[in-house]
Amino acid sequence: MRVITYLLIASVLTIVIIVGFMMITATIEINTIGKRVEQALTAAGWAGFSEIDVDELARRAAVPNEEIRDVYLNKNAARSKVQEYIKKNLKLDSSNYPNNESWLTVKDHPVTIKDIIIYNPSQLPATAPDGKEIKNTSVYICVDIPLKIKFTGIVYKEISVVVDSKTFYSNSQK
Amino acid sequence: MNVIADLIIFGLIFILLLTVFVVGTEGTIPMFKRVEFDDACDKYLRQMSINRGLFSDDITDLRNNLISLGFQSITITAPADVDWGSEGKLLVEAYYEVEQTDKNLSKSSVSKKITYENSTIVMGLEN
Repeated sequence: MRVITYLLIASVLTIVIIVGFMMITATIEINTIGKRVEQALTAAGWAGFSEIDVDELARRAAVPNEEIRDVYLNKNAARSKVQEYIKKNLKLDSSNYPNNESWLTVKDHPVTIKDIIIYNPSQLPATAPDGKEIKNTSVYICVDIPLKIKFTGIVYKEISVVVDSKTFYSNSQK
Repeated sequence: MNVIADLIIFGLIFILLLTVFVVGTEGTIPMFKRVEFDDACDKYLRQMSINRGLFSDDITDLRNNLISLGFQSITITAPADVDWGSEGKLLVEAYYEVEQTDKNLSKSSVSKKITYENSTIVMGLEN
């Protein structure tokens, strides 16, 4: 009787430990992929800063106050550029499916680009959809990434970044 | 008899815990190496974008940084001088050793390849 009790306890403990470790491993894997996606999105967001609104820049170049002389982006062109580099860095095809060279492990579900929002100085201060405060010219990107979780199947993880010129520049100094 | 049964059961639990610990550790090390590698390389992508290229000093710094993190056979491909507004790509390939336990429960050292590749537009933008 005692042996049976111990075996039952041992069985329950075994299941709990194995499931616990699988959950921890899955969480670490999701966070690792998530971080990698964030870096790819940040690089794509920075590419959007190349689409400066030259007309606006010419008008504002005469503004003497540096604090309000910020960068204006051509929104449509910046959005296209950001989208182009999201596809390039995540190695997506024209339908946003990860191609064979992509490091995303799920290839038969597309990445969903949910939002690319350009914030110019005239819209500031603002709050991004993910709750982050926007104080400088910024590019907000939000995507859904397909991930395979054991015993659950395919799930989508939402990943968002805000890329602004001041933060990008100061982060490069670290 | 009860003592023997207790010992057998606790012994089985101990072996199970050890197995899960070993498998769990070996399974997660590549993920932690991934984060270390990406963090190290990402900083230099930003440098490349802002300085319009990656200087030889930066490449040496990145290489030394990766060596200190345990990576070997490092190949860094990045432009040294890029026109403002042109594309710059940072490609870093390296290897790292990780110990794995095989079916015979013996440990062997396995070399794994790791790659960082991201592109952006190169431009110095100071505010």
